[in-house]
Amino acid sequence: MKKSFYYFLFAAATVSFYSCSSNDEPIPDPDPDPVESVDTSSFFILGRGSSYAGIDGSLSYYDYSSEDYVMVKESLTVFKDSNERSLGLSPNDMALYGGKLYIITYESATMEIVDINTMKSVKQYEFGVNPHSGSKSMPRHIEISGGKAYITTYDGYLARYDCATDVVDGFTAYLGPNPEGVAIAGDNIYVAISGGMNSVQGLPYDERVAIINKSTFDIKGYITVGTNPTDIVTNGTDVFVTCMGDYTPNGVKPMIWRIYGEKSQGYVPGTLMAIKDRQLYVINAPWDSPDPISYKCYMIDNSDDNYDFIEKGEGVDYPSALAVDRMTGNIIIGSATMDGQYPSWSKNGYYKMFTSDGKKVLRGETGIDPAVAIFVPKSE
Amino acid sequence: MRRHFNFFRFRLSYIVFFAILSMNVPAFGITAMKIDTLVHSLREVTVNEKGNRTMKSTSPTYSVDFTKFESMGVTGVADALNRLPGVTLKDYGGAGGLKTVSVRGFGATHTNVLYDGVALSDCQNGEVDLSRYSLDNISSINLTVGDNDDIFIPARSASLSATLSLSTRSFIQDIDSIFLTARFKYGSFITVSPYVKIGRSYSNGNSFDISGEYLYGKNNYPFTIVNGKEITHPRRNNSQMNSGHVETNASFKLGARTTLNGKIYYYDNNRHLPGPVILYNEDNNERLHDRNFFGHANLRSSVSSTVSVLANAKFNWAESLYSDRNGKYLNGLLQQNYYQRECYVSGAVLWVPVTSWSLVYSGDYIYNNLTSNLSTDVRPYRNSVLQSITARYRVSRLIVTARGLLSIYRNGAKSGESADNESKLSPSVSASYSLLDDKSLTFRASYKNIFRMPTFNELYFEHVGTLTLKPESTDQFNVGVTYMLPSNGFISSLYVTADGYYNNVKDKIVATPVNLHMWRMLNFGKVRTTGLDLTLASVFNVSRGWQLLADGNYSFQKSISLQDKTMSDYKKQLAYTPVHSGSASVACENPFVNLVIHMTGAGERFSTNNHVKGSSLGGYVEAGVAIYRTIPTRKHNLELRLDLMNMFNKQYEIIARYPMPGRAWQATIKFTL
Repeated sequence: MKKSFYYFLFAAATVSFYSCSSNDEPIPDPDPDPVESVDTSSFFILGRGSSYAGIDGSLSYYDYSSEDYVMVKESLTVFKDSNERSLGLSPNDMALYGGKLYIITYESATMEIVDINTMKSVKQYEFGVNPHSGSKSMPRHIEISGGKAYITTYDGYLARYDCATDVVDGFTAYLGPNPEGVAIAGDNIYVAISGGMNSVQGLPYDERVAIINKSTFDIKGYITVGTNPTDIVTNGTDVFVTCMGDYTPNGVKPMIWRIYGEKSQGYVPGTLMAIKDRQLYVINAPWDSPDPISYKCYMIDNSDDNYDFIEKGEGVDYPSALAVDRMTGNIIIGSATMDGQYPSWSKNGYYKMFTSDGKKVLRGETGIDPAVAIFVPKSE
Repeated sequence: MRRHFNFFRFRLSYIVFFAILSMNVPAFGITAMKIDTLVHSLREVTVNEKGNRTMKSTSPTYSVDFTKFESMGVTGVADALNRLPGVTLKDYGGAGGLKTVSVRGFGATHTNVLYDGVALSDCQNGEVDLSRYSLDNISSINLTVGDNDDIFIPARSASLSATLSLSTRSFIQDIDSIFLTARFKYGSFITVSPYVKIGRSYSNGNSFDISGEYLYGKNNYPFTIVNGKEITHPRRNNSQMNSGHVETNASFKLGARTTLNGKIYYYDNNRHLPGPVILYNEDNNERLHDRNFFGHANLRSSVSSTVSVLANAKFNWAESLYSDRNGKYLNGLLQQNYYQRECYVSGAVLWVPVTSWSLVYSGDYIYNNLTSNLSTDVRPYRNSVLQSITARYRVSRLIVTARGLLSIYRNGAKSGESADNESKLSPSVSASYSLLDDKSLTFRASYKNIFRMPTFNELYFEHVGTLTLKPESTDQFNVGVTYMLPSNGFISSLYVTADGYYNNVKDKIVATPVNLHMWRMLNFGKVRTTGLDLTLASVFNVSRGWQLLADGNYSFQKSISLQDKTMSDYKKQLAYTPVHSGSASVACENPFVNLVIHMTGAGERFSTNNHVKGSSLGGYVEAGVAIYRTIPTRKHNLELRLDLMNMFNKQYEIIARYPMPGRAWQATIKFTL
């Protein structure tokens, strides 16, 4: 695997990705591969595992020939194999920075920092007990920019982790219930406030996005969006939020919202998204609709200008992850595997990879519940 | 937030209701005479009497009584159930862990639990937490698969596929005296439990008693985590419990042929919940406070030489307060409070026109409701009317019993849409035939068709419940043989039973992920179970004053899903159900100090129905040893007992990620006046 001096991150599913500042951060090539005859590209897929069945999550690694898309090497359990221990329960997000994967686990409340050359965890950071709540902060999503990892914690905060010194060096004030996705555009950090746990208390979901000043780490304000905002993506200019709705039949349906300055507006229906330059890739798989799942790429400035980004008939069963490689335009979609007529949450999932023109080029197994896919930036 | 069905929380919420569940321990006077000095003779009496009865029963009936508790080394109600064949105990570990029982591949919601003949219930979760009931108060535990041998029972007592009956200790009547039992227990992981019971019986046949028990357990037992090459030995955290119960019984003789019994019961358990073991994260602040009050009265009268009547009335109230202190909730605290109530009346008439025929009509009415502090609560309630007609034909060697049960369930919800109603007629028939004149060899065969109603959680639980659920219906077939070896000088008693069975469950209610974001309760399962249950109970006279008691059971149980050929669980063994399980105990009773060695075990099980990698739970054998000695004096008895549980420190799990305690000891001192 070779590293690029350019570093782009794209991922999706429950994670937002791409940060504009990441362009400035070259990754040194720590360990160039020895003679390699095949030019390969690689990607990672994070599987949540099954909290229900008590099965820990997994990190899978895939290395394929860039020319003809033949899988050269793959490992479904690369974290466990390399570290001889488990990743933990319910890993929920990851980000690639400086040759390292930062993987956060929700229920185990850890962050594993994995060197992608050796696949060894160089540090396991354990989230501590929050004095405000008396319970551990459980991390949900991560975004890295300017040497700092920004991590939302489900008890209502955004933590800032210094990747150089390996310490949390800041917390925002309380943002709201159950922050999820985080994205950075310029000096603004956008955090989706989902209120995802409110329903167990019989309360409605939240519908806000918090904006935090990246330099001062103060809350600048809130923007109202749709019900249950979850993922946020940005290309540095445009900000989009997936609002998952209320999960009730005949209730509020999933909708992607667009944030313009201090305003917001419903954009297109969707449950998963990824962004590449001026294009927004959207999968819409609403929970109570008999309609087929749609895979549409929208020109951001005119959502009427859109096309199906995969070939007809090549869709997946239950899309759970979406990533677009900013360099090649290749697309990965992760899915649960069907078990009879319903998706299984204890069987391994699968992914499909498509080229930018929607041709399926790879299909393979993932861990249970593939949640996040990341392309490793490819060398020239 | 992406909705993820939280199995554990779901379970817990279940629990709360029951003041149950389910997802989900939950009296009596010692006999007037000094039990301990009489234990041998009583054993003979109870074993022989019960033996005779259960050996001739038309459906499989298994029994453990208080004399056996000692000689089998039983340390709790759950442990006693583990010694019965065909039983799968769900145990979340430790003194505070929920313990429920399922029989022969039916779920725990198919097990009817009777407490002194009156059904315990949990309309929210449909499962009774057996950890609530104290072994000290119990004289016997009976498990009947299919129809009970006693046909003069409320209709509701026959309304499920298996019946577990807990009988509390009662006084020997017609003696004018005062009785007192005091017991103190102390054991590993700071388990402290005092118990006292005082009672009085009168020569006119009336009696009265009151008992109380308190149990504190820190439950911080160590366990082993094997995480790849890392092996750690943490302790269970947030696991303590404080529990107590008070119970009073009164019995009045109203004339020569009429008895009125009454019971008032109160239970309070305030416990922390350790939750499943999660790697790298021991933080948990969940708590559960259960309270349960019930009172029941029971009148039994022989109106004439051919007609008897039985009447029961019960009121039950249960509160379950679940809380989780965690920053992920608004204001840092989740509180889910559930309250349920039940009013139950039952009447039955027994008519014995000729000695070979008995006919019983029973009619029951039950009202249940459930409320909570949740704004989404629809306040469901249910009116149930159950009627049964039972006929029994008995001649010297042949017993035939047939029953028809008509069930009418009417669901309602005070502030929302209610679930579907249900009416069903359920037949059952069973027979036994003794081959020999001394009735030592008996064959039996039975069939029962029955169903269970969906629980309120399955119907109404927010986002998950489904109002249109049908009941889970079951068919069970059993054939068996029992043999009682004639006594001789060496063999005091020896019983063996062997039963083969075939069960079907249709429309099994399963939490199913209907898509990425939503789980739903659906009638989605079809399960077939074939099995074999073997039991042995024996007493040998080794020499004067020395007896050897050996008991054992083995169960083979193949419970497979037949729902859908294209599914990965097709024809695979049901989650948490061992194919092989069993127990054995050998006791040596003698004039010096009695000794018992016992073991229970089960083969490999899976925490998932499709046996995915990582969901296997290894087989285990847990062995224990106990020594006990009774020191009789002129007026009272003192009993000392020392138990060593899981003596080989076997690490195992019954529920995935809920480790069971390793080696532990317990000392008991008991004083009987």
